[in-house]
Amino acid sequence: MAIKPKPLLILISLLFAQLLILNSASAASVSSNSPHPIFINQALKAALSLKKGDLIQLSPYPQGPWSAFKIAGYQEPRFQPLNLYYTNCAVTMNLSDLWKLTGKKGEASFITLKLKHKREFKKVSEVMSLLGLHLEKPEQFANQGIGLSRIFERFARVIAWLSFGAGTIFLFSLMIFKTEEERKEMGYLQAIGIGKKTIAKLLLMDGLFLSLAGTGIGLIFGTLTGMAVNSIFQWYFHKPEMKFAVFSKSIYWNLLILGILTGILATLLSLARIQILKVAKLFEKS
Amino acid sequence: MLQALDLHKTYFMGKEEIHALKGITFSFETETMSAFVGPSGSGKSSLLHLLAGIDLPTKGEVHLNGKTLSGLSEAERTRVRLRQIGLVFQRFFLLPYLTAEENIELPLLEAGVKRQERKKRTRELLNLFELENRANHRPWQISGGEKQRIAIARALANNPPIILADEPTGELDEANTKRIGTILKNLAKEGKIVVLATHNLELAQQANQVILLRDGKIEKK
Amino acid sequence: MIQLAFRSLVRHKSRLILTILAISSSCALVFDMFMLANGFQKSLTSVLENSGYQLRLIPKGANPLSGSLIQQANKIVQTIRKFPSVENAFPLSLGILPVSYQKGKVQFIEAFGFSGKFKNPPFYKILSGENLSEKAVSEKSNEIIISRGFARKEKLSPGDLVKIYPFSRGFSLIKKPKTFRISAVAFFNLEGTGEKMAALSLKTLETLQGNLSRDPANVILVKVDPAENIKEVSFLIKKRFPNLRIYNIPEFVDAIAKPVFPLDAVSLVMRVVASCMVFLFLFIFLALTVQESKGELAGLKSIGFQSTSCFLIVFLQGLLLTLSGTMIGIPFGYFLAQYLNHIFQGFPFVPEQLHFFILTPSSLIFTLITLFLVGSAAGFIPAFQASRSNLLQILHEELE
Repeated sequence: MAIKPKPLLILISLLFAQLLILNSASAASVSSNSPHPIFINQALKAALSLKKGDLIQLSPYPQGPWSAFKIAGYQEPRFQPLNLYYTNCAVTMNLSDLWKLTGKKGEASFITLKLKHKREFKKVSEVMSLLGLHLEKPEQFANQGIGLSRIFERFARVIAWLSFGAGTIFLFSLMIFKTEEERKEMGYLQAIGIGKKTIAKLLLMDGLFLSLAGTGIGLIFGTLTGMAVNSIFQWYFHKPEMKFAVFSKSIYWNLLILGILTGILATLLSLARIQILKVAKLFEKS
Repeated sequence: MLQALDLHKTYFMGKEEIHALKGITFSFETETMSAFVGPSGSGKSSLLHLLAGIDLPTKGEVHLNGKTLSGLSEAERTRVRLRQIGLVFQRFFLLPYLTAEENIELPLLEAGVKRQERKKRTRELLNLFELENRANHRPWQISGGEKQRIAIARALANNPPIILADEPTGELDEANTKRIGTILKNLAKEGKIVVLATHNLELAQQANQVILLRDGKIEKK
Repeated sequence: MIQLAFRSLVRHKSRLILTILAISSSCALVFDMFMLANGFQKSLTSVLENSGYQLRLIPKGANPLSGSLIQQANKIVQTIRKFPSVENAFPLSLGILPVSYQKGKVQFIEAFGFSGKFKNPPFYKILSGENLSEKAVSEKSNEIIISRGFARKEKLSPGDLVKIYPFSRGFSLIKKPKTFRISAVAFFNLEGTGEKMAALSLKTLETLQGNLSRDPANVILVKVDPAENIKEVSFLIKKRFPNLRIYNIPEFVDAIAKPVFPLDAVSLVMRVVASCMVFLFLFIFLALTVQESKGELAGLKSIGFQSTSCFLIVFLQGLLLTLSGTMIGIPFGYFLAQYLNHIFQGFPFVPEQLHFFILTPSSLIFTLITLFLVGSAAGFIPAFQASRSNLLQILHEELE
């Protein structure tokens, strides 16, 4: 069935985005008669075993006409959100060269504006819409391009909360295990006159230690796993800059606090469950 | 039928050697209830463990129906316990999540007895030990004496010729001790070899022969 | 033995329920990830198969998403149509067109240009109005068909007029727009929610885009009948047009789906993580259970239970836990998948008809096999410990 044009547009627009950052000085230094310079990415370099200074022929059609370009260097397109697969080859060239090649002189996928003040966005946007142009803020544009990452973020959050929920439920189960196991010891402690508050404190400290240690080990394990997964993704997609997991301080802090709170909650629930008040009952059940 | 020949057992507690048994030789006869008595650490439990094949002697042998227990593999010794030896412990070792009836049924289950036969045999044992009204109770719902009766019934499930009881009345009161003693004596009368390890003299007095153990040796019969 | 394992398991109800809940959440995740693994590809395959056109031709060496052009597309199509077993073939182009309607507001729409002889083109279904006439398809015409989302959003219906600006050399309001009549509203197979799409004749589209002189198209679709002859037809096309790359449906799906959505990789990673969670939950639970019931196991061994029986009691507990987790996890996972699917459908340009989480017998079977293996692996070590426990040592411990 049909190929969808929007991803295509984005891919092209990304190519054009590269044009804006191309070093024009290096292009200008090449004489007009010699083949024009072009930058290739690592994937293309590897696929065709190219090196700097080689000539490369490009055409918009398989049947030609072909134009020669000289490889001036290597450059990875800055971001290619929809273009994750390793077979992707890309070139970056001067806009006028692209026009010549495609015969579409004067066309551009987008125009970049720098506003003097951010608040002028709305006014400029209205003017642009009269011209039939849609104005987008950088983050809106990025969102359209890297919508994938936004979606993945939502997806990852659902999965993370589900895993956290499962872990918390299991922690509750473990605390019940632990308190049932220690029921007898608690009975003895109460029998020799140690107050229920002290016992509750002891248990709480225990629970806190368990959850802190668990969270700590979990964070280390998670970081190592995340790093391993990142390496797998980078290897799989041949993109050293690609990341599946990004580690930030706030994530660590949030998880640490969550771990402590969960530990306290689990201990309190299990304490409530075993009713440490009744010594006789404890002995009887144990 | 069951013979202990020059049994020695040495344990190591760190670097320290503990000689639990120092050359016990004894023949256990059918229709006889033998009680080993002695203070703690005299080697009563160690002897029972060796007779049951739970542990192996450092020196000496246990002969059961002409076979040497130490010559058998662990799986074979377990099979001997299932078919030929009924074990009773001070702590009962009843499964808390099973009813009295199901606990008695366990050895039959492991022996691969069919369900109908299992149920029949279990009922017989419950009747024999007057536990019919406790059939569906869990161990924590019944008294210590009843628990031990269930444990004895379980030991008898596969109708083994030998009953070994390690401190069977250790956690029971006087009345129950007496009752358990009578049960064990009756079992001996029916033709079984009953061996007890106890420090309860009242229970020991019900036995046909009482053997005093001290420091791993038979001091007196 | 299974009854014994079951009874042992259910004695502590609250912790059992909590553990099953934790395991079932992870089982749900494993199931969802299996549904995700090839879900998008399967869904895309089924949409493409429904079109009835099995082969797609694009310029050799080009990425299917790059929008490369085939020159003299109509000529190629006419030749291909003459090949044996080829029932139909047609060229298709894609473009962006600036359209204005009502109060002159200009919007860009995605346009499909096609030509050929057929009553119903395979990429849309008419909902109201009249399909493009044969003449309107083969020639330049002022008739277009618009997508359901477009019609609903802009309150357009068959018979309404819209203005389309020529798009050659970029959009400019200085150029004079042409008036088009909406002949029908249709559901486009690859239509995303609210996406604005239109279909018109290839010649009209290429004229508006200023490409007509080269007779180009992005893709040529070929319908082979009987379908068994796909290989022969592919061979003939390859021989006659060596500059074209021929994709059958699985190849085409692979070429499109893999670069755009690396979901199989995501699914694999998450599957491993979720399986590890199931393993850990089971392993910890069983290891603690064995630790706790040492005395019981000693009791069983002393009355003649073999090591294998003790092994089985614990191992079966692991399998029973896995089974209960799976039984709750699979329905939960199915409903969770609907929500996750909804999230993924927020991907830009994802057609409504495409789904990411597909329930197939294979996804279910693979989930069951994985969970069975994880359950067995997690139960093995605690069960082994139970079988190897030192009876004498436990008897001494119990007495102390």
